[in-house]
Amino acid sequence: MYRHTTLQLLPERALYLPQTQTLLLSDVHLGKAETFQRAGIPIPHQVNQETLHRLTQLCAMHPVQQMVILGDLFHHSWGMVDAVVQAWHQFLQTTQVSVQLIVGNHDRPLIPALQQFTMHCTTAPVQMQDLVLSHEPVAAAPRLNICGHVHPCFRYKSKLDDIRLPCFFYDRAQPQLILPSFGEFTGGYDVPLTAQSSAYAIAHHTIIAFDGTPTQSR
Amino acid sequence: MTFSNSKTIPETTPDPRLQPILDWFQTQGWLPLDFQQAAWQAVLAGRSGMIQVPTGSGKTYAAVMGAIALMLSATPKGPTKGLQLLYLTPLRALSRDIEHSICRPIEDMGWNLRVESRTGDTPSTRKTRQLKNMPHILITTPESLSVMLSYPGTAQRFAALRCVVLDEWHELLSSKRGTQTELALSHLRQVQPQMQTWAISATLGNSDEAAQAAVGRSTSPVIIRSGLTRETVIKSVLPESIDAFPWAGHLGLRLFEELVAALDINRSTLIFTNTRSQSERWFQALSFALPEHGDKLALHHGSIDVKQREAIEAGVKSGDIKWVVCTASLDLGVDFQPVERVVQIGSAKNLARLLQRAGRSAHVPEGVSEILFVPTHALELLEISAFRNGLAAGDLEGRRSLLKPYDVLVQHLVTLACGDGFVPEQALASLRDTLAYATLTDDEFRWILDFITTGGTCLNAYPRYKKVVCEDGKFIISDAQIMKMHRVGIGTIASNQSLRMVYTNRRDIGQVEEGFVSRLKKGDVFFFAGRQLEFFMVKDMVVYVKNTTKKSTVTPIWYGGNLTISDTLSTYLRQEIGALRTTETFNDEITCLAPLLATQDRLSQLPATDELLIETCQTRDGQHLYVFPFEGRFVHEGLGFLWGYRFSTQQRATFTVSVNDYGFEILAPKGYPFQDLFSDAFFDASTLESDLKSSLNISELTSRKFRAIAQISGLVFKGYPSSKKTVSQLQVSSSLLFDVFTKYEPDNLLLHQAEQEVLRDQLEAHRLANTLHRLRHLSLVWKTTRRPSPFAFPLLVERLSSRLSNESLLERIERLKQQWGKL
Repeated sequence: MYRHTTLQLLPERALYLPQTQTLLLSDVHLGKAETFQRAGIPIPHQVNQETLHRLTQLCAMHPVQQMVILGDLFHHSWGMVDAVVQAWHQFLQTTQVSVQLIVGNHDRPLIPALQQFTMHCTTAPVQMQDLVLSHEPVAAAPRLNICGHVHPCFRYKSKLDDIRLPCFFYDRAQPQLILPSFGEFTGGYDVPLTAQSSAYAIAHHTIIAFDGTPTQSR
Repeated sequence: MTFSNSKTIPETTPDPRLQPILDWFQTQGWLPLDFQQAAWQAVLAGRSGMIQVPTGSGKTYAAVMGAIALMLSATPKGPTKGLQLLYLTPLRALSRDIEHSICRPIEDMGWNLRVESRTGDTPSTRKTRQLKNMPHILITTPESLSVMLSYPGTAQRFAALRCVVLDEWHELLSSKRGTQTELALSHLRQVQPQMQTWAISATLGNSDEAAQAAVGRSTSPVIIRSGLTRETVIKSVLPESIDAFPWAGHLGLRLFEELVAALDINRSTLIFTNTRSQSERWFQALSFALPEHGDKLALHHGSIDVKQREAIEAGVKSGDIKWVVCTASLDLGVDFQPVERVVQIGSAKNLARLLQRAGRSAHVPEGVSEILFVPTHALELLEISAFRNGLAAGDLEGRRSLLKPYDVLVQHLVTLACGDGFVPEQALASLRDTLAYATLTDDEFRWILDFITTGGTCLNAYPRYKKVVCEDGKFIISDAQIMKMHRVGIGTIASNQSLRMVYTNRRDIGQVEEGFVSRLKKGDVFFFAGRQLEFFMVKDMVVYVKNTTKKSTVTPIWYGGNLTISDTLSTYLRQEIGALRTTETFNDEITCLAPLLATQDRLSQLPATDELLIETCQTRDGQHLYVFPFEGRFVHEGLGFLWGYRFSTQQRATFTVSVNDYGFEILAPKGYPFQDLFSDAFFDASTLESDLKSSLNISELTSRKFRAIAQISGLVFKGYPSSKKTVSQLQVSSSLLFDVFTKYEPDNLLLHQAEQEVLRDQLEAHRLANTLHRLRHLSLVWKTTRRPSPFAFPLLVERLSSRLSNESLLERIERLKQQWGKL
């Protein structure tokens, strides 16, 4: 809950706002496998199907009216092959949801190609009720900034164990909520927890909260 | 290079073709040694083989002069055109010395031969010229040879090749670089079937196998030995009192005053350490101890700038530099005539390595090598004693060619496709002539062809993926960018990303790993290359630093492989421990260690030859189990995992397994009932491999091995070396690749390879079975200690650990959450 907006963290690596029936997600990186294949690196291309499959399921599980993708929908121009483009067209056609894309750093060179899709694209941060939605984190936003770009991961290392999980990263000081990367074939960046922040780690189908304490700041 | 003149020329008249060589030897006042003559005759007779002699005994001339004699006598007018002798050296730093040695007779006698070298340091204009117009004799590295094979025109370029010399073959043989060399040579033999191969190697436990790997399976190798013997004497620097000597650690600085007292600054001395960080620390300590002799000390390791290393090597030769603190960087090659003493800090872990290092002193064919051993922690005194017994018995370790690593094969085939292209049937035949790929099956070969052409199995082809294409039965690459990327990635030495370090005036200092740099802040002070430096900034993959006098004790860390004591040495180590309870008279090392051994006996027990010691202990971290089989780090890692798995099948848990050369530790959550769960079944070897695999499926080991495999097989592209242009769209971590392949392509051979490397190379499954068999016949001694015993302590503090868990992720997180609150 932030002010008057309810935020529902989903273990499918997306955020749901029930009041406006809005689904927020970020860093999908469609066509990444194909980009690698073009460079002579044989990454299995099922990763795209898996990513889209998860997205379709999400729309079925919740009464989603609109979807805002916080950037990096596509990976690179090399990956904009017919199969990838067609798959996204098909998703847009079959879904009942209106889709909006906030252009991310990976999408920016692809803007001309993005025109062909039936979705709304913006290059600047979007204000939505109490929230500021953006791709890259916005410093000192007047309201809660929800963004992507970072691919946050929570890492816990003790003498006995070492666990690394994708997470939602909430920084009270900013205030800011960074979404995990949605795509199947995406890496992660370890984020350090401070007293002012929390990580909501995703393990299988549950979300587990870790609050930063001063001693955990490393 | 000098030879003793004691050897006589054999009665038989030498081949007339050797006359020019004999003439040159005469102008030098030398008589060829028996083994040199034998090698030349064998080359003239068209044979291939291996020359096995100690360093510094004239092996280079033994290996090359036969081929040079052939070249000189090719026609009455002298040598014909084209590349005829290829000399492969593992270190590019050595190529200069070798070029110099080979050029000497050519210049003295005015032979019409052109000699050049080609390494990563050769300017690209010269490399391009070489490709068009090869010298008669080319000195190069395995990597540079592979890069040459990746240019079209290979068949014509190597058509006149007579002979390939493989220097320091023992160094290459059992690594992926050795496999890469075997593959490159098999291709050259296909181009030029008459080609002869001569390996030069130090003494090995398995010479026949090493020679066979060098010459290929269809040739019968000649092995030439020198008959020269060299005695090695081991002495040690002992602490005055064992009470003040550390139980664990690997730096050994505690003894630096004793070492300084034992050495003489006017005698040329090499001081070997096992790691680069250790060499940095020792260099600081010695500089501090002898401030007035600073100019006579030097530091030499693989991360220091090449030019600086060359200057140090020259300084040692000229006698200006007296003491050099070094790492394996000086194990090889370069002839250091003046070196009189060799010091080894910390255990060398391997008899052959110790022998090689000892051989760096008294660099004449016959003589006594003396090595001074500095222990870094108390128990290493036992190893010194074991070394002495092992050398006395004349035992040496063998080195084996790797068993068909798929990643190196993928790289090799793509290299060939970049060059002249290859026809699968021919390629397969030449692959199977190597020792490494003798057992490559048709299915495996088919899979690899699919992997580089369609990207996966036939059913699962990627239309966009066209790395290698088949045209008229020949496999080639047509995409210029893919060729360029491949050439940059040729090589099998996987390392972490390293950054160039320079002064703010851009003078080069050397290379450091990214991981170390990322922890530095502006103004931080650290030691590198023997200098005290202040961190300034990182820009475009270059680290800028300046000299400083501010205080700090940080030393960069390089991540290298861990050394383990060899099978051979571990046998002697166990004899040493077993003898403790029965022998009356001890040598100096054991006498020195006696009080510590008494402590072990008091806190726990000193195991007799027929006992296996197991200790348990509870600390803040959890419940510890310590087991001491004294079999070496790798076997202990395997055993730790095996037993960890066998414990966890009875009661689920997450364990941390830590190992060293003496034993292993399993750390479990508090109160874990190790002793109650233990039974005779733990020694069962029949389910060894399947149990290990089950434990590995749920561990990170395989993923770690996959890192190097992904690099070598071209899945991870590290970018162009000098280009500022990033290829960020291709950045990916190998662990992410590992996850993706495991999920979507579980039959990928590269995944199997990672698993096999863990089982075979890391856990040494074959040695493990023998160990289980041995342990089964020992009587168990369980001891519960209130604090870790002297044997256990090193395992507690030097934790190089791996995890094993059969708990679900959620169970692990649940426990983590509980701990979280208490922190």
